[in-house]
Amino acid sequence: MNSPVRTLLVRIDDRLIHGQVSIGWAGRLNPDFIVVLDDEAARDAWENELVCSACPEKVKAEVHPVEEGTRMLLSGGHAGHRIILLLRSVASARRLLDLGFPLSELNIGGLHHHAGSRAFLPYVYLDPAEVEDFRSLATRGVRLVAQDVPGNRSFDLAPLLGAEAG
Amino acid sequence: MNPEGRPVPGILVAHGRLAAELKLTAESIGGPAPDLLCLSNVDRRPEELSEDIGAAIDERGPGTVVLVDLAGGSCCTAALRAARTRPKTVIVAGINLALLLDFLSKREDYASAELVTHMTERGHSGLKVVKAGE
Repeated sequence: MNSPVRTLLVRIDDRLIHGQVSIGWAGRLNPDFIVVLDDEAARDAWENELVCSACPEKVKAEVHPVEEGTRMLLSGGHAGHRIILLLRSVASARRLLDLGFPLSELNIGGLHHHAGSRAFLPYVYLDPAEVEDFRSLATRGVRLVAQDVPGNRSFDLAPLLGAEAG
Repeated sequence: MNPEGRPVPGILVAHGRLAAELKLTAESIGGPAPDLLCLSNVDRRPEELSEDIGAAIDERGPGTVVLVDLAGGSCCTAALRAARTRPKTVIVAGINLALLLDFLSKREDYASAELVTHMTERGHSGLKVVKAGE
């Protein structure tokens, strides 16, 4: 089935919009929309404005709750636009997939140290639940590409997760 | 001495080693500034950086000036989150050496608001083409 959703990049980054996205990726991919799908930021007007204020001037930024935003995109909202889609967590990525979003490749750009996590890459720290969520995404055919900024080396995350299983 | 009776307190927050290196460089020119705290985004989650900035503001009191490297960057966003519940905090983005030297040398003479005006003007005027290519 052809979906109306086309994205330049779907990225997990716990900082949402910041320099690596607004300068690094937006500079390379030339989006006209940065769509943030995040329940927490969408619910809080102050947080929503803060996230959007970090967006480059020539790009529009929007923050939606994960489910509403996914349905909006799936029903053709922003069809024809050049979109960078940003998520805060792997749990959000799973929800995206569960809602039928055509997710073939996922960029992992920044999940920083937190309680119970360990380093898989300098900018990818995962706790056991996140490892499971990423494994599940890989099993469902999502290519997991860790890369902080364009031009830096990218890593296939799935084998790194596998090595942790033993 | 400024009207608050103490030098305007400051915190530097920047990517990588920039804050620490900028402070070291400024100190080598203008003398030591032991109370100027440097924070980096490296090895800190965004909320952790916000908490650390918030704690440093609380230690220094209202009117603390947070100097960050890049408007819209993660350090700036973290500072804005910390300042959400600390409304007297000032945040200035786009720090450079001229601006920092001005901040450090004038913060005993000016109150926070005047100091910010003065140092941002210095920051702007310090950015110039000193010789155009021929």
